[in-house]
Amino acid sequence: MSRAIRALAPVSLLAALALAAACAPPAPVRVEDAWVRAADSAATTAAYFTLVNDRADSLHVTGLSGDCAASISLHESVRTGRLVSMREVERLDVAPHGRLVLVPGGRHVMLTGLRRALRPGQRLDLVLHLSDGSQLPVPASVRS
Amino acid sequence: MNRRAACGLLLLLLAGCGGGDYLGTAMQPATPAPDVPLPGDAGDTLSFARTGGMVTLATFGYTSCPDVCPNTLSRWRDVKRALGPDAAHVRFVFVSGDWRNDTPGRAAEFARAFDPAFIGVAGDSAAIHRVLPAFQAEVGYGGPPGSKTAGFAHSDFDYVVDETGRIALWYPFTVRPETLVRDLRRMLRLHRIVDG
Repeated sequence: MSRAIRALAPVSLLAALALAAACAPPAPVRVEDAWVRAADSAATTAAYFTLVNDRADSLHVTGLSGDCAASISLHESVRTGRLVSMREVERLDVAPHGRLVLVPGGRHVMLTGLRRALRPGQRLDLVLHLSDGSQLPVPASVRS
Repeated sequence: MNRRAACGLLLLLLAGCGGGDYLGTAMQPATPAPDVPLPGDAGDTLSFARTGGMVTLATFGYTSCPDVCPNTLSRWRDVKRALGPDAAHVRFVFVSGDWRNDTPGRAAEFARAFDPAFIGVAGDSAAIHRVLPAFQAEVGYGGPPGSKTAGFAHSDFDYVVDETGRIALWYPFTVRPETLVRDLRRMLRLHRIVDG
């Protein structure tokens, strides 16, 4: 009996840790569903994510950084009549207990001059910068 | 009003709504696509008027477009996959309207990156401006009002050109792949390009 318990102990510990991780409250400020469109080296592409703000104060995104591209900037696609064009955005605000959703055809992160090809299934690590100086990792999956 | 007149009026009203048999919006007025050769890869040219009996799905954009154009071509890849064997009767054509920066080769490569069967073409300013009006599409240089950066602006619609070369339907950027699949399948059968 005691041998069986000893044998199961590491498994139980792992299970308990997994359970604890699953039950841990989510971070009050977090990035979800980050992805970037696959593209060739030197090309231009876009990344998208959702930034969740569970805090009682607003957040201000001032930019993103990473070593994957010559230039990384916040943009939004804007419609004027039958024309769509892009405008650079210096800051994106997230209301208290709100969320910022970046999707195709709207606000996005523009990556210009990719230093390597991005292929579906790969991961791209970006860093999101907030106006209070804090940073958040943005682990983006590459999609086709 | 007698019954026949009422039915006739109803039919007229229905004909004026959207694309009739289709989920896409009918081009008003229905316009023949212009016969303008647009160069693609390796000296090939494409004219929307010369369909070879195929239905054409078309859009206008530019190859350094990070957001809208890749999303459109990615949607088309889903459309082509869902069409299965029917896709053999559909041309998928991306037209770069960015005559200052794009080349036919670049446009072809950009389209092909999404699917080897996708066709990318470009054209000089004169050719592009001969093609655009029939599609009620526009392109231009410059950012939106208030923008500090100059960019390229383009219409972001999807269009269906039927096998007779008539620009039949258009769709907004937000169109779902299923909608395009449904309309393309329907057109292939209504126009007897595919049996069934």
